[in-house]
Amino acid sequence: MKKRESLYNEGGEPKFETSSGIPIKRIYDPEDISDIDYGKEIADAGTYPFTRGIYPGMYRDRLWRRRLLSGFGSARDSMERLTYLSSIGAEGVEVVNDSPSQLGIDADHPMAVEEAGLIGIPVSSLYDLEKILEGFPLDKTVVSFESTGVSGITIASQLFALADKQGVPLTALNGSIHVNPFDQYYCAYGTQQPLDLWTKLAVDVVEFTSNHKMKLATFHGSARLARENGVSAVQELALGMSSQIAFIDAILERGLNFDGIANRPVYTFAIGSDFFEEIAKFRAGRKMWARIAKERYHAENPRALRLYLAVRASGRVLLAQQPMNNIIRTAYQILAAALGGCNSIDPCLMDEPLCIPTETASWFGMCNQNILAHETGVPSVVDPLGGSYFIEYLTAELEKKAFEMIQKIDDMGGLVEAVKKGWIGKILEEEAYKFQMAVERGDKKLVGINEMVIPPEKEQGIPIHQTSKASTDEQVKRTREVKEKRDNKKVKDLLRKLIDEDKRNVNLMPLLIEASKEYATIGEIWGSLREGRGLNYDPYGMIESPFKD
Amino acid sequence: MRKIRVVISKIGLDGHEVGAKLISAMLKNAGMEVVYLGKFQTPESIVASAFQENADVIGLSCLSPNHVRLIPKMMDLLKEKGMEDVFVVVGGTVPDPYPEELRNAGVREIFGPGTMSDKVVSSIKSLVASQKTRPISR
Repeated sequence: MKKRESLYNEGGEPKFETSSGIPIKRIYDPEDISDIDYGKEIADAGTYPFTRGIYPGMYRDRLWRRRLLSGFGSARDSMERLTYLSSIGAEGVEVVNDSPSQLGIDADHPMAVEEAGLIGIPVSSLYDLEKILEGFPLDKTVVSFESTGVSGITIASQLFALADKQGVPLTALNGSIHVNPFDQYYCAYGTQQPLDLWTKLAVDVVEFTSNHKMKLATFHGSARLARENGVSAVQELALGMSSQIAFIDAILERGLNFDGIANRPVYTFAIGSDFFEEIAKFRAGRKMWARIAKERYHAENPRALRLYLAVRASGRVLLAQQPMNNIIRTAYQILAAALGGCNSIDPCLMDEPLCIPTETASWFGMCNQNILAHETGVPSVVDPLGGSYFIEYLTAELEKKAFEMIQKIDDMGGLVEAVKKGWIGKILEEEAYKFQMAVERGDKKLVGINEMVIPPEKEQGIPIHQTSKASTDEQVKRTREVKEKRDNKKVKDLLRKLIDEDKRNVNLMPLLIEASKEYATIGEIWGSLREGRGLNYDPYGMIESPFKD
Repeated sequence: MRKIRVVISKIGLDGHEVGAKLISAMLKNAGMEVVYLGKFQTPESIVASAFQENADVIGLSCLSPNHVRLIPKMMDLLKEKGMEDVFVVVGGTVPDPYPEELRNAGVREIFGPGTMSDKVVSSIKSLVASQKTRPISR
């Protein structure tokens, strides 16, 4: 009988712990996982509950999708950068939206004129999306619109309008558009638009894509934003699954069928820096989703049980000091993602704490991906850490703790109630504070901050991207131009119709697609629907509808 | 001695709030009176709040390069309203060449990523102490 090791020191603090606070033993052995039934809890890859991967062959059959995030400047700037990234092997188009479009206002809004294109792609109307995707055939390009704020709705309608204009069948579109409001509305850019309207439109998108049997994934969950605010791996699992649950419940309320809408479930995780915890987290995430789909929603569609993991390395763990070290940090992060069986991986780039990525940083990001893919041998076996006493223990433990937190959220009445009660906001603030204090006390060592510190004058500089004022101005001009050149009578009529149809509580996607084709803008669409519901046209109260009689 | 009064704010459409909330908590812990204005504030709304709160310091948390476009406008407004004695400090992502531009506009301190809270606290205390007279109210 082995002597039981104490996990805690005399002060009651864990001697060693993961970043989520799970105490870690000195060494793990068969006893630690003896009650885990392989067939039930782990199973081979491609078999329920998919702990080891959603496909039997994983990277042996097809490598993870190697993505690089992009988006800045004018629509033309974004298109040029996307073209460059494609030329160096980045797979598909992965973009983040700029702040005006994430908030649902146009580039020429008084609050937006200095901001268009600063942190992402500027998409006020189809006129911009057309430009951004110039040269990318829609039936051969895998798109990923993940950091969308509220713009996911109009991006969907613009993309479908574009497909129609180009004669590409909707069923040929591939990739994902993030429309789920429940992981965004309580942080970052999601806070300005009414949740009920946003939810209604998001369910419209999912219903539309399901009815048209599209392979483009719009049923998408995440807690990446919360993670970037500082929450732990356990909290990321729980918050993300809870946001998925909140979205599913809204969708089911409409009478849609779970098996139909969850045909291609996608989940976005951040990749943190606690190496083994992240690997276990991805495995736990797949397993949790499979169980939620089967046990909570009684899924019968086998595809609804397989969670596609599209992951993005956390920018939060990267540092501005000695930024070339970030390439090393990201290498460990994407290694964890590959060992965790993720299906699409996006490394943050070395200049993330400083600026929008430069071409140099993007180049090294792609090198990072390809060195992992081709030089390490990692892709040649499925779930290589499966069976590790520590990894299996940690996977089970993360799952257990995350389900406990989901239960707490359920007991409070669900995610929206938990947000209303301030419970989630408190978690975000407390975790960020805890981490900062640990760094300041020196308990958490960070190379460049409190280890291997060098004076600023000795720093080796890297190129810094600057989005020019000219690019922003160009974007503002484009927006004003399209508003002048389009058929404004048609747009006015369509927006009026939109308000009427919203009152009839029908699916607005067909109308949104028509309006997008006529170059109605994101600000006009959101503004009109807001007015129809008795709110101010403009969330900032600065402008009025241009279509007032 | 009256407490140092700090208005912390985000400016423009930059949605990254973690740092702003953190520094607000830390300055409060250091004994300052802190009002956090939140996200999506304009130069006008920040100046108006600083006036109302009789702020000694305006601290802006910037994680988007909108700072060089919006902060000079805010500095002009402070001048217009005779509030040039309010110290403006910026924390966040401010890589070269932006610090120089911001300092030329009148920003007194720039705290880059990784700056420890005690440095922010002592810098603010020094700035305020350097001022011979502080208005009781405006």
